[in-house]
Amino acid sequence: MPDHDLEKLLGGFAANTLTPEERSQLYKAALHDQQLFNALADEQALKELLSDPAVRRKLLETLKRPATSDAVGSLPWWAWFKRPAALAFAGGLAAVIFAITFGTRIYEESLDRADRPVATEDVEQARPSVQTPQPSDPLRSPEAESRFKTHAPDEPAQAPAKKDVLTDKAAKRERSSATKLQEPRAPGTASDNAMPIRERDETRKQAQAPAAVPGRTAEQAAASTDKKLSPGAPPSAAAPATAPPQAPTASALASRQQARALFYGESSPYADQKDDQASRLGRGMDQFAAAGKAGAIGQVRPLGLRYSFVTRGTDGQSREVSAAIAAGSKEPVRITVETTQDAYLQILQDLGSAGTRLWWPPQEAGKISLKLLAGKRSEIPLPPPAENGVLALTIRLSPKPFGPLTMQEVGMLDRFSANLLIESVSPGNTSGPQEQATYVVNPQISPTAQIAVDVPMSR
Amino acid sequence: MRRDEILTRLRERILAFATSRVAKDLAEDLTQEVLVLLHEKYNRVTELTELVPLAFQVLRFKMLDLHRKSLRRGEYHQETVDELPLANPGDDPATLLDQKQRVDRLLAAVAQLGERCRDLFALKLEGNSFPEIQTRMGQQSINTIYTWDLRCRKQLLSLMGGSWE
Repeated sequence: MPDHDLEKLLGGFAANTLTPEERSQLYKAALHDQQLFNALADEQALKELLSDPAVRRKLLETLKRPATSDAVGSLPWWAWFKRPAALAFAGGLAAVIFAITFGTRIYEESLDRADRPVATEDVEQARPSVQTPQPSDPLRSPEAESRFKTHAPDEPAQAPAKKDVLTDKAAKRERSSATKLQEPRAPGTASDNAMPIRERDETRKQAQAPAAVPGRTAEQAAASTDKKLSPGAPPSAAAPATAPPQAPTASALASRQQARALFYGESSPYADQKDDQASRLGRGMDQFAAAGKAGAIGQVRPLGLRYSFVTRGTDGQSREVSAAIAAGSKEPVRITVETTQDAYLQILQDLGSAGTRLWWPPQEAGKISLKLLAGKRSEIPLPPPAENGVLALTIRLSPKPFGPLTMQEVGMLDRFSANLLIESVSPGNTSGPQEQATYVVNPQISPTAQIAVDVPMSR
Repeated sequence: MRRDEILTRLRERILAFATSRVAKDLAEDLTQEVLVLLHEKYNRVTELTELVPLAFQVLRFKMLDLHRKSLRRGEYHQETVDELPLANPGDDPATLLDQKQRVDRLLAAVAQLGERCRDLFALKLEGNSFPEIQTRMGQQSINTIYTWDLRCRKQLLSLMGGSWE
């Protein structure tokens, strides 16, 4: 036996069953090999045990028991996990559970992300074919009009233009995937259904201020800007040429008007006045259905929120006021909220450098979010402003109860507000009911759809 | 190999082994005590196959003795001498309990061995040498028996918690 195999004789050393040759070979090797010597010295404890005849007898009795079933049966339950096969099985099972859990979540998130570009592209593709030019529009620029006259009558001329649009869309998709929504989109694009927060805030401010569009209703402005988008011209090129840099774009106004119509559904008289936008929206929604996302859209209302500021007038009656008036009011101001579905509400207050705190539901309620019934308005008091004098609120709405809010989630709130339709209604820009409110609708028909909307106001 | 030569080798190995278990000065004392005992009390033992196992046995006793002395001196647990009981020349209850527990652990571990290991271990306990076990188990090569025995021994050691102590 080679020297490096002498370790195999250790078992014989303890049981004292080595032959004289094996013994001599082992001991000689042990005198020259410290590792083997140490092993033999350690084995001495077992040798001592086995040299006791009583212990030997007990061991032999144990070994001669017929089967190991008794021994196995007396093992504790956790000994099952010590077996290699059981360990492999448990590990595989755990891996499958992890894969299913995280895979499902990742798949849902990818579906959410995939919904956005599909919706915007479909709406964009459908728009040129339904928008009829109105020559009486006073704001249409001569260039756009001439382009329209040149390209509108003949269909073949539209084909290359559409191809250009598609090429632009492909390029835009590549850009957007590269920048991952961090890069602000070019204002005025017809496909810009999902407006960046900043742009939405600006347009909302302009809509709240009655003098923003003197002599024209927002609907007229929307119609006029919509008409500027000639079917043959690329939308991104047409809009900046005709609209002033800070004026609300056609898609922005359309989105705003869609929000209220969507909030009240087709039965709303206000929505009936805007069948152009509603029909366009219906087509957009049909394309959602075609994508297999929501099924019959007409039966399911999207998640929507209506909020307004309410103060008590001198006559003691409550009336809705704009954010600017609410900010300057000396009377206590409350915020009213109403939803299209039974949903859970959370109002967060941005305290500036101090972070973000949960304002509603109050701490005493012991809840993280409060359930609102569909169509029922609730009044909530406004919190005092932060140290910097700014009162910035974020309203969150979800069909499911919210969990504890982490700092990471606070930073990701934009994710839920990227695709929202927001419409601010003031008494000056509607012929319907006199109201001063903001409508926010998430067009995605999904059980995971959420709303997170910023409500900035200085007091 | 002559006796002096064997003792010289043994001294090196015992010192290295003891140094790996106790402090160096104690290891040197321990080695010296083992060799003095082998030299004075077992002067007639000259064969390698007798002297080496005897050295292992003496070494183990001396190490256990050192452990007991340290315990008695309060090196592990500081206690006053007045509270310590009088020394019993025989095995103390702690040693007996320790041995009983070791036997119980060994019995429990042996009961968990596989069929082949149980057979092999039983044959060894009956006093069979490896060639005899080879014949009893009907194997062509004795290396197979060596390999099986090595694996079974490692499994038993693992079931004992990694140590025979």
